[in-house]
Amino acid sequence: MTCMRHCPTQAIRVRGGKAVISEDLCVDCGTCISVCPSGAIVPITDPVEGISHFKCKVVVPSPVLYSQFESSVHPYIIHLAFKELGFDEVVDVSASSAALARALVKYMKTYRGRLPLISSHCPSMLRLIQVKYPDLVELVVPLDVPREVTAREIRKKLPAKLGLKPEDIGITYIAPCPAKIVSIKQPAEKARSWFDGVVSIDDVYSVLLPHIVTIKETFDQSQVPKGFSFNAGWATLGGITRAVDMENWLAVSGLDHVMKIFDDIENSRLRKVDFVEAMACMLGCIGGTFNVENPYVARTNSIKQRGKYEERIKIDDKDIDRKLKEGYYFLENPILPRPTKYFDTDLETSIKRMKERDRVYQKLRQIDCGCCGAPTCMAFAEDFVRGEVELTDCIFLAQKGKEG
Amino acid sequence: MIKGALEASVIEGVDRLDTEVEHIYASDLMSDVLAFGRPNSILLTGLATQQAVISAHMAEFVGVVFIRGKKPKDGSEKFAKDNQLILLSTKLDMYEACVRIDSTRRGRYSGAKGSWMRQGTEEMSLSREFFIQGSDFANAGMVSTKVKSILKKIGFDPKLVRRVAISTYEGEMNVVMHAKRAKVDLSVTPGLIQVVIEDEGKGIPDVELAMQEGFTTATEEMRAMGFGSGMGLPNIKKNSDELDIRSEVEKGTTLQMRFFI
Repeated sequence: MTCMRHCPTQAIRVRGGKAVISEDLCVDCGTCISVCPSGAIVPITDPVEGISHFKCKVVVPSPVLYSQFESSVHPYIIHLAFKELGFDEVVDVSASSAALARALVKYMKTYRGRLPLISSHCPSMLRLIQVKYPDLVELVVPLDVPREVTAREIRKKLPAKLGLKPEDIGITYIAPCPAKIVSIKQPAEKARSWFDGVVSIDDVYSVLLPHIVTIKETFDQSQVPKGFSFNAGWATLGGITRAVDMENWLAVSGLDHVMKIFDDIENSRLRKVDFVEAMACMLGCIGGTFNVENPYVARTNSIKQRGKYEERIKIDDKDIDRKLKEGYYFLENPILPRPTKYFDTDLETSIKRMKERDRVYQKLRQIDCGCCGAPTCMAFAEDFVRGEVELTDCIFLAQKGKEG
Repeated sequence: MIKGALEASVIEGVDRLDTEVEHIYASDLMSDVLAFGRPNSILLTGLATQQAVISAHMAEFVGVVFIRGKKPKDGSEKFAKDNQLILLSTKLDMYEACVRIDSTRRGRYSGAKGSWMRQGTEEMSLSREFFIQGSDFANAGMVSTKVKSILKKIGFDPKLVRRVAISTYEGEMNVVMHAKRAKVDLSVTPGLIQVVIEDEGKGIPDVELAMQEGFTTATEEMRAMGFGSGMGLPNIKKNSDELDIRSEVEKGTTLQMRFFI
């Protein structure tokens, strides 16, 4: 019941005592998972130890992972802890995010279409736009995301370096939210993810923590190898716009705030903005469902880490120009609208059902009690005209029927 | 219905306006009318003489519509009255008049005051009413967002929904900026979406001037908030298929926007 009420796209109904999620409407935001009192909704993830049958096990942590620890924990300690867990390589997304930020700037310089463009970074936003704002699909920047580009680079370079076949390398992502898990398990904008597995931050946190505590006791700054560089990346809201250093930008997070901004874009109200960084979770990825730390604490950690450890990443402009030309950074498949058919594909039927919906709604108490298994009386009326429920599923109408 | 579609004035036959019309015949050549006209038609013509009325009577027509604001000056009215004919006069030209009637026949066109719904199509039409409060900047955009969500749910093409949303939003902003309050009527059929915004306010003294890009009466404050760039009405014109503006100074303005599907 709690999940049903909280779902921002009203994708959940309670049928026969269980929550049923409509695939058409779900945008993978993870709200239901975080509000569920009994932990009934779980994502499908992989074992923490990495996928054991690979000869070389590589882990790519989301930059959000660093923000889950106090700034006194050097980022390199986390790398060491992963190695103790059995991973052979730890690779950050920072180089790819810097490259993609530059690619984004270049893309926007030559782009002459409708504005503002919208970031493709948050998979939930992609789904939301496809489902609820199909007209905005053309505004989404068709560039791939740092994690995928990172995995692709690993797959390209590491086998040669280690003298292994590409298929000998297993790459695992550490994800802060269900949307990213889905984007790896069932990618929509490409045939196949470059990752082999995905683990949530909360799963890895508990096994990582004891290692971190022991490593930290004896850790010395001089242990950090020369090649190591830390970057807070796009973990916090504003990360992308910070990276691209753009003039007319807007960063928005939290689904209801985002929807207000998207409504404004549709009404062509948002006029002096060229780029919108939109994130489903409050404060950005640090607000993801699978994080352990409170997002506000995580943000403080992240800001402190930035001051203490962050280094500017060198970018090879020519390499980026070449890759852009080749189409390397772009998503494989176009982002297509996925508008929901609420009533019918035929306009005439659809209008009739819309009217029928209003008639049914008038009969209801309009208190959104949720006893019928729909989040609102309006949603119940819609379910009814679609033929999914009986009027007597409403406890008030059932009562009336008995009395009458 | 024809009167509404053509925004016509009645010269003769107010009491017979509900007469059924089966066909339309448009011509200035009366010999053609007599040769090809079918009974129970109405004649559209630029020939403002008694001859047209007599020809119509001979061909068993129910009436005559004079185009481009013409009115017969001879004894046509009396002849029409004696022979139970309806006489109308419209400001539209022949082509426009024919187009309007054709759209009405298809149930697409909303006449100035007449109903655009044919009997029987009522079942397929959806109407909604919304209200906008002047100076309520906090809620500005709510009505267009509601309109948009209804259209999206019905399943209209996203591009069309966008045109309606932008037009409604601009109209809504004009009310918030300049008027006291307004009523918004949305009506939806499979062939037509219509949004009528009827406000109580100071009205527009010169509609033509207001239609010009960049013309604005917005205050400095409104412009600082990003409104009133003088693109409102031109933007509506651009995004709607048909736009009618009627305004009376110190009373209010009515915007009628139509979108064909």
